[in-house]
Amino acid sequence: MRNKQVSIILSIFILIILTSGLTQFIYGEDIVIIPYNKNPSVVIDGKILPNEYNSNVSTDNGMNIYWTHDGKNLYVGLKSPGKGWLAIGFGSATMDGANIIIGYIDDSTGEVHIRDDTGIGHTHKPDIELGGENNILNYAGTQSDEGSVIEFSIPLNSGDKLDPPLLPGTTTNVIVAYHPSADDFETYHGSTYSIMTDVLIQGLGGLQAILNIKINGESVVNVNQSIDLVGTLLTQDGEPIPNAKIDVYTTTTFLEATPILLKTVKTNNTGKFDLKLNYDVPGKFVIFAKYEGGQNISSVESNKIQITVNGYENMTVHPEDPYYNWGYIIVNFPHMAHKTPFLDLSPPALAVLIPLYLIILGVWLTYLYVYRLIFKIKRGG
Amino acid sequence: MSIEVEEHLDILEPLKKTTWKYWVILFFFLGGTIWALANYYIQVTSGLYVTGLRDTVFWGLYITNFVFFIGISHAGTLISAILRVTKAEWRRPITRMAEYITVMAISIGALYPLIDLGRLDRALIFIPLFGRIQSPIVWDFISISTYLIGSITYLYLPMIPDLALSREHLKNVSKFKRLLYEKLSINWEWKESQIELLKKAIGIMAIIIIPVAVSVHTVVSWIFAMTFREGWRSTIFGPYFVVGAILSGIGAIITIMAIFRKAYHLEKYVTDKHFLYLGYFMLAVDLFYIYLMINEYLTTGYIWGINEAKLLSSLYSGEFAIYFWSMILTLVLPIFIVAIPKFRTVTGIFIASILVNISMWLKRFVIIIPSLYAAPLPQYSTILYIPSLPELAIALGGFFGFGLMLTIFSKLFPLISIWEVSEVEE
Repeated sequence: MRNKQVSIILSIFILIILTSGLTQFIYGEDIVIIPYNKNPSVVIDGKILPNEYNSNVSTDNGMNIYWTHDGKNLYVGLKSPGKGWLAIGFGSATMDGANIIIGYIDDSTGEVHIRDDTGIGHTHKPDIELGGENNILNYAGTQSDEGSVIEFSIPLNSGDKLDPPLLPGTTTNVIVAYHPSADDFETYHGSTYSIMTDVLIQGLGGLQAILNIKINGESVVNVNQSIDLVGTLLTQDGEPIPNAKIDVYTTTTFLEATPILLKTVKTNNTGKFDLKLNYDVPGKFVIFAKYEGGQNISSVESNKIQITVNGYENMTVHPEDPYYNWGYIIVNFPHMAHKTPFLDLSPPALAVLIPLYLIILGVWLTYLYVYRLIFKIKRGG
Repeated sequence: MSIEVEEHLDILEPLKKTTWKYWVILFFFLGGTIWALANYYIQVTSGLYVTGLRDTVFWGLYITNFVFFIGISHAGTLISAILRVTKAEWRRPITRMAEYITVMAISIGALYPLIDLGRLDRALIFIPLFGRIQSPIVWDFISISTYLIGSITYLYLPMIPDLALSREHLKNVSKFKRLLYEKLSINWEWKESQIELLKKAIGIMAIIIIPVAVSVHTVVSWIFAMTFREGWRSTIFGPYFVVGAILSGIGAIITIMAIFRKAYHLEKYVTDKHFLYLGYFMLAVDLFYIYLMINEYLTTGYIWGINEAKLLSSLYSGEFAIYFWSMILTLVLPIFIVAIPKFRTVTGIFIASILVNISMWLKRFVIIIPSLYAAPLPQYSTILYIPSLPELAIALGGFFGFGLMLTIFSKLFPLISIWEVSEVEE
């Protein structure tokens, strides 16, 4: 009896441990915020003082992130228990595509080495090697027996094509990692990493902006057919916001991928903007726009519009096309799939497939015969 | 005809009592399965973006698991049907376990293509709505469902008399179990006419299930072989996959057999002889598989086109070399373990079977992922495929689910066919 009780308690305990991930998932975690402070008291000197930053987050890999933003720049203090490199990435829950700031303090000289990188798959490279730029505005670092500290500041929206913009009032994903000892930019972090999703970049307060977009005309078009997108940016009181920068995004044919920036346009004096778009691939796409906010005006994301782009009925390969001389080409017309007849078989295919399907039919008939025998057994033989 | 079963009723003992160790194992598998399901929920709600799959590598661990589990499902067919048809008497104590493996492995394996689709509604698009009968994915659907139904029937038929025995001799078990035995034993009363009908039905199923099983893995191979990819488009892929499936099926049955023998003290029935015979069988199939593999790599390597070179270089000395050479090592080592008399013990054969299982999983991995990198058309991205944590959890979930089903079934139904064991000793 005692053994049974022990076994039940032990089993429940194991179940709780194993399903803790599920519980955490269902009930969610506290929202992590990068707070807004119009006049932050941050001093980039490699030392983090109490109340220097407006927020401190402890990550599950043992690091601490201190951060705040002033609507223009982001100030970060990064603390790790190791003496090797430490890094933080913004804009991606994986390393791929993240704006990564990585640095280390040389153990012997105390010199701080820091880089503005971009994640490519599960590696990263300096922005300057990828056609971008180094956007670190200021940095400093110190190292002690307790670990390493690096402070730096970067623009919220650097304009660098490699850096996902961090817009007040929106959320972003943040990754952090460190190495206990390696003073370099390459050594793999192993398990000392952590991921935070949906970190809120606190809005600037003040006026609430409202952004609306719509299509003038049909939302079902053919490839390369022009689409007229129009939109308005107003305050909550209906006042136009002129000369504001609007980023227009679209999803791609690979639906799970991050939407891509199509174009940036400016609003006119009445808060309106328009844009002509065309798609050279068929598929279903979602278009939306973002306004990053301005002085005393919140950032905002527009409504989403779905459009359908029908593909080519036929296609010509030109001599200048790279696949012209390949001798073969595979073309997929997703929009035409439903037009293919259910029974579209050539005679050789029929010769093979029909006997095979007849065999399958024979197998199922045999099953039925066996089930008949089972019913006979049930009736007593 | 009378069958004296009294002497073998000890096979029902595991169904009567449950130890604390059983509950620990059960909850371990249950916890792992729930963990995987929670991660699957994340995948469904967030999209395939949470996995490591991208436009270059769109089949990863999921399709590896799919081919692996469908492979080990050949355990039941091979051990049970072929040995039954050839009247190999030594098969009797191990057929039930083999048939369990078959049903559970297909059930788990068939889930992975659905998981790989991301959203489940896509399954409706690919099969019933726009599926066409000349498409390999439709063949897959048809052959796997045919095999699953056939295997469940083939598992159930020889179980009917044992369910009747359970109904008669297990009076102090839970109400659920009593109801289960009552309903599933379908009025079995050991009448001559019932036995005759049962043997006829088993005989028919044993014959019909063999070509169905062969067709399943052949069709699985065609999903690759009928695609324009280096490393996949091959004429030997049908038999190659079937032999691979048989090899992993034997590996799986030896592993499971050893675990159940130890856990439920079945040494009286599952003897060293069973391990030895299956070990020899595994050795022969392993050698044949290596022969086919030499064919695969030699013909691909001899052509040495741009993409063939890219594929084979990545396997021999590139980013997939660790998987490739681990696969070779775990495929070759069992040969020596079984061939050298000193190592040919139950423990030795058990270790060899685990190595075979590892090898066959790795083999599916090196068939699928490196070929996706060696694509003939220009690729959008060439980032290295690294499975994400949710993806790993879902992939491991298959093994947890497999273990969970085996653990539960071992307490619901006899692990050894009592009436068949009794019959042979008359």
